[in-house]
Amino acid sequence: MDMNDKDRFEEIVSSALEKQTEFELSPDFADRVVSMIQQKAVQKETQRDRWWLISGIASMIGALVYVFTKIELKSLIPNVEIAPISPGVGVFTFLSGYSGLVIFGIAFVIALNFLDKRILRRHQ
Amino acid sequence: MNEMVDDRVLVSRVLGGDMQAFHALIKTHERLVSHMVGRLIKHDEDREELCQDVFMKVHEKLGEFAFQSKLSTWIATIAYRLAINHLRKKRVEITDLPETESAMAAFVSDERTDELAEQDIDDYVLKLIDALPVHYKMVLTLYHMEQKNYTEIGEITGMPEGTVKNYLFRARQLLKDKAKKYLGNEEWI
Repeated sequence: MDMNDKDRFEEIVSSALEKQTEFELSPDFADRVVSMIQQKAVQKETQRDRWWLISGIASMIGALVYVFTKIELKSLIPNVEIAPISPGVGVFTFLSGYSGLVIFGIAFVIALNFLDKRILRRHQ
Repeated sequence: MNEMVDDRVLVSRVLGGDMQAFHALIKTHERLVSHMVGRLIKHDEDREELCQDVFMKVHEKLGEFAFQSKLSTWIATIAYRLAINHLRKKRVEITDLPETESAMAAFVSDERTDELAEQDIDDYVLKLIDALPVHYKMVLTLYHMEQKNYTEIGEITGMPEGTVKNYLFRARQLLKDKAKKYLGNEEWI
């Protein structure tokens, strides 16, 4: 194959390869990929938040169990003599006369969290 | 050299969280990826999805890119691997060309010659290329269409340079032999 033949052959193959253009990516392909990556990042962040929440709850339960054992709450352990205890909640006794206020407080905090998650974070 | 400098600037911007830069990166390399994927994968839906996967992977792994090659070569490597994995999942046979003379002759003396007699050379050559095994198609596409050299094709496909040359030589020889039969004369090659 001399140089001219080789050039001609390469031209024919290149021309044939170039011809297969029926598959073209849509014009908004780059936008879609970028938006998918951003969505994925948000999902990852949500998962991280969830992980922190779960680990927080688990730590809290752990701490609770530790405290109960420290104050000798034996009722959870079978065949062990139960020591009478009375957890001190005296600091909250004043709330007993304001049950409406307590319910409002809880509802208000839940509503704030709901608004934060549904509206504020979405806009950010 | 300039291309490498541009790549460095672009990559550092993307790693800094600049999504506009990543948008520009996609725009620069989407043609390369679509040609590679389009050559190997036949279903349009799979093609588009695979191209998306390629760029998602590029974004995920960009921090590991050490500029030991051109950015386009590194992206082509990802596209090639994902396309091959996709074909394996779909149980598409990734065979080598037959080594024996009789099997090679069978490829060359394909029966479709008559039914394609009225089509132009490009269509015919394209059909021949599509009939080639996956690795040969890819080597031809990268060499002829993307103007990649042997070293770059070796990096992309993970083949030694000698194998790339061999694949290219054999694929071109087969195409030439088959095209001669189709045309009935040898004037064009």
